[in-house]
Amino acid sequence: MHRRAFLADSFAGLALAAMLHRDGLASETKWAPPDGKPHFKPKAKSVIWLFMNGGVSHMETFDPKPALTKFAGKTIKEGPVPDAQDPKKLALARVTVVNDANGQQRNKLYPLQVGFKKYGQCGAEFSEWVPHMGSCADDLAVLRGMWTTDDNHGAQTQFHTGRHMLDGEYPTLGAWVHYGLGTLNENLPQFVSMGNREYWNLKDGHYLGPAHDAVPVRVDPANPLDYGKPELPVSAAEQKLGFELTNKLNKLREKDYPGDAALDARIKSYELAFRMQKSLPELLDFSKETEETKKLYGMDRGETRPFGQQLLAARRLVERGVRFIQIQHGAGGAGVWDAHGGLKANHAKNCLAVDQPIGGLLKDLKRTGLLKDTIVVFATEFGRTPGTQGSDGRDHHIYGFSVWMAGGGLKGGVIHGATDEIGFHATEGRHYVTDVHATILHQLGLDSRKLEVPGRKRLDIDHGAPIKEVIA
Amino acid sequence: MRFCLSVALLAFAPLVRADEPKIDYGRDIRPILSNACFKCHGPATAKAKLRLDDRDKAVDKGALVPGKHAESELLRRALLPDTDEGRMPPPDVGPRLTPDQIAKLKAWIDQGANYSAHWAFVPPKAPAGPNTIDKFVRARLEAEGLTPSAEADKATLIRRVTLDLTGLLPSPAEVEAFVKDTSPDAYEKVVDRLLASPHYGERHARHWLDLARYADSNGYTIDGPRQIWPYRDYVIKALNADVPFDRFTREQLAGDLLPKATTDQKVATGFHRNTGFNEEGGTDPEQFRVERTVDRANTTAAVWLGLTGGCAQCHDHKYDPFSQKDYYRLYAFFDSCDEPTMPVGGRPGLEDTIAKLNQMEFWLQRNGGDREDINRIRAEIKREQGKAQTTLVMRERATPRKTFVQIRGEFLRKGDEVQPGFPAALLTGAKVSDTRLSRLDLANWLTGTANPLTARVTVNREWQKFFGRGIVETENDFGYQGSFPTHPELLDWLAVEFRDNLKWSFKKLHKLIVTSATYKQSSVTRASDKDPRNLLLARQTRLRLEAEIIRDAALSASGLLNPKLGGPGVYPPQPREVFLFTQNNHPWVESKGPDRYRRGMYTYIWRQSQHPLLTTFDAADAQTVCTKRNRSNTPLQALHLANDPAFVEFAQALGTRIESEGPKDDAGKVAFAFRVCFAREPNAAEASRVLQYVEAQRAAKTKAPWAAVARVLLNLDEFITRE
Repeated sequence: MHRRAFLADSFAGLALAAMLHRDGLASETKWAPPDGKPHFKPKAKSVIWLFMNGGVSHMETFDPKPALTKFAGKTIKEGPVPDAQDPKKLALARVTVVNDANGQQRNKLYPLQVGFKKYGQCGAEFSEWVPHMGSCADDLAVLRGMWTTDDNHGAQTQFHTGRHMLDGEYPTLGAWVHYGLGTLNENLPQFVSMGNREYWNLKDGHYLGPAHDAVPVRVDPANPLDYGKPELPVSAAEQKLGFELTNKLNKLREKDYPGDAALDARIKSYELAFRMQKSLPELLDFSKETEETKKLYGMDRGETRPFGQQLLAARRLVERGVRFIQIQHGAGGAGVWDAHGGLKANHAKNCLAVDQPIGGLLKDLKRTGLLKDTIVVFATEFGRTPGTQGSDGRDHHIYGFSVWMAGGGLKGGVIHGATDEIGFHATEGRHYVTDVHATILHQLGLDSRKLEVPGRKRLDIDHGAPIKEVIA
Repeated sequence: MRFCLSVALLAFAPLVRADEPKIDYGRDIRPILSNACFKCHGPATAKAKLRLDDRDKAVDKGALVPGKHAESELLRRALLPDTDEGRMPPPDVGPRLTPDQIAKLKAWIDQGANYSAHWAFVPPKAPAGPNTIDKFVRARLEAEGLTPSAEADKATLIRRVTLDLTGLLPSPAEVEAFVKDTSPDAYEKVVDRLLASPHYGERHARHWLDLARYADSNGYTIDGPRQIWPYRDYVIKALNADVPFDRFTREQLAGDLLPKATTDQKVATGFHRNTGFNEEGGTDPEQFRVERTVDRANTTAAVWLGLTGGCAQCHDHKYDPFSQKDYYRLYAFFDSCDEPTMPVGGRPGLEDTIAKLNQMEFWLQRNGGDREDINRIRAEIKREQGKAQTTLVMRERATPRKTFVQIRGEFLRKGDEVQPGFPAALLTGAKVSDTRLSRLDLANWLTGTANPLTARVTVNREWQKFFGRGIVETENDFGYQGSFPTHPELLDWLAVEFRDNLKWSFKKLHKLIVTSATYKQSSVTRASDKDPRNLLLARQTRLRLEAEIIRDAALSASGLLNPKLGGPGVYPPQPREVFLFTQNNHPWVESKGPDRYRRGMYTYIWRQSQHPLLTTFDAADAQTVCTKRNRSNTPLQALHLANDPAFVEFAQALGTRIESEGPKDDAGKVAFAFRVCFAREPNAAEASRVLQYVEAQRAAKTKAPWAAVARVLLNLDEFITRE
């Protein structure tokens, strides 16, 4: 018998009677909600989660495949990866919408719609549509071996929660972070969402409750929040009086119910509401930002302004300690990136809309020192097919696609994972979406197994595993 | 030396020491094995041919040597160091067992390693009587060295019980009458009055509608409107009439199969028509029919059996003894239904016309019919349906569909054919029939005496309404992974009492609960609280009101409440930018006149974009069965109460009420406002604060100082809490 086992054994023997005596109550009360402290030393404090709705073509952004051009017009069987459509290799798909016109196999290889080149010291090859993100290549950890299972846009939810839509509704990564980590700023919500969201991806908390939903914020200092201001103009002084009385009366009630945790929490959330109402307009007022900064985010041009101003708001939120900022790009009608036809025009336009703002964000975070403890994530629900749909589009593709992360103690200038020669299957460094979650949680100092809620059994696949290869 | 001595002692230890506490397999051991072992050595997977859920097999393989923990491979492996590859669970699969767990396993093996059936799968037996709720609760408190709290003061009590039973505030007159009534049955009289109120049915219907996933629209992308409010009204009516739960069950699961089914009984089958419905063109209608049927099976399992069926849809349950076949047997009960729209009133034959049109539409869709034809039929259906109020119902098909196991839960991949049937693990004493079982058989089996779960699951959910937590905390999981009851005997007694003596009467069960001393206790936390989560019920718990009830309470306080029962959904105000932000294209034409002041449960429910009051305060999402709501606390809730135009309107009305109904003097007005909102008098500190505020408002020349006061009161924690 090993010494350690022996010690555990004898300790247990001594404790048995006492343990069983208190057992009922003890085992029922053992669980406590998270205390807001990381489980181990964190490398990052905040996350900016950029999600491209509709499905970005990995081949035309971060995983260029010259073979597509070389074999253009040939069938997949005639190309360099003839067995790509072997049914065994396609088995991971879980179909939500049967007989849909989309989400089908496309057999004829479609040439790259844009050139590509090497970026940065690391020499990573990205497409010519992403020059600004490319100029930050040395700060990016690109994951080229992503896969998922929903071949329709339910994969958006799946990327946020780790669960296929047919499994039901589950908390998103942002909700888990919010659940696990305490606040760094008493005046702001710790989980903010910007940009429209698809109806199937509207909420975050789910079984953790709406307390862990992102607070939706509009980049409009006059009206940033739903129910954020009285419908009739009320003077600030009057509002303050009303709030003070509310607070006072709540505290008087606390004398009758001393130590009531829910009442105490209610008082705190009223205080936060009041402060939020005051601090958000200031946060969204960019008048003190320099013209140079605004330009960096593309706020001087119509194409890039909408996304640019959300990203500038994100930097200002991170600066003030907000934990998780979730920004949805192009939601509505399944997502603007969903280029079933006219891929070239579609992706050229969408890349233009996000590339400069994201490049600007990365540079701004870096020069202000914030990138050290902020993780920026660029994600999408799936890639697009190597084969053509119609005459000039690409369909949904779940077997291999790319996302990237940057900052927050992650390596820069790294390409991890790969797809085959035509971008069909992830062949190396394969990761399901929850590995991205696990990596982020790990950098934030959280162990998702310690965040579980009684009565809600999570599976290994829900937890994922941190991607060690991209952690500095 | 110590090492040898220890081993020797262990080896010669008697099998069971008299003073050693008895290990209960279900409570103490199964959770450990289920969590750490069954995934690889359980019903679904038996790695190394070892199953630890089966005593004989575990003993055969030497994993367990009854009476001799030191020789049991299970313990030997669990105690290996992390560096040893043989450690169980393997280091990369799970953490090592804790010393507590090891100690329990040791004692259990030494006591003979006996397996007992899972408590919830054995029919409940009432402990020898006489029994009361308080007897069981107090026995447990005493065992833990705790004492119950004193009874709450009368004001708190009447506000609590009125909110719990009707979801409205007691009027100042009702409070006064109760406070002044010194007769011993004063409280019971209040309870009887509340149980007889038509608002009782509304209050408890809304709980039931959470289970039914009720909404006024179809969900999915299009989320078109539907008419099914007659089902909602059926539930209100049935609960007001105290329809016994067994009948309530039969009517909702199988009303159409009852002899000479009445319109009400057919309307009741709307329970399972509350699933979403995908209207999108180009989708395979069969796929979504399957999805709805899956939802029906899952909902039935959750509501009556307290079990999560969902896992077995794709594979044998990894934790509970439910095979995939069991799942599709349950599914088969609902697989043979048509889903007609039934006119309620209207000309004779209208129902058949609509049914035929529905069938034509379905056929055309399945067989790739012309889009124009389909649209024409849809228009025709709409026209016919417009001729009468309609509701959605279930109807058995003349020839049943064949049901197959769906491999990996994919409806196109058919496995073995199955017949409707009950889960094998629960078949304690039920007769197996030769003829095909119907939904009516299912309903009868669910509420029969041999069923171990239904009565327990139901009383547990009712208990949860009045204490904020069930006796089994995992009200949605009575399986192996669920929590053990805090008061097992109380649960079993209540279950048997509800079924056999109270004859499934909800009103009698509710009266039994709310008249117990346990319910009537004060909810003040005491300084030396050994039980911060109040699992043992040494006090009551302050509970935040549900979304709809927050609205209802504000409506009662303001005096604006329109007490009308039932009817189509209504549209309370919703700011335009809020509505647009949810990206919903549906109209939200604000109700004017009395409909503006209906109870929260009548707010029109667009499944995909519910009114923000509902979502912000944790209403059920109407996507799937909801057995328990969260009671969250967020800053957006504070903003909502402060700025929702509906609440501003209520505050103005309450302000007017304070001025017109309250006494002339300011102090009297403040007291009146407190009586209306909190059923109590303000204390001196509160009164003086509010009076100062009134003065400040006057100094600032505010037009309606009492409306400003009302606004604050409706915002208070106490207002949205039942104490």
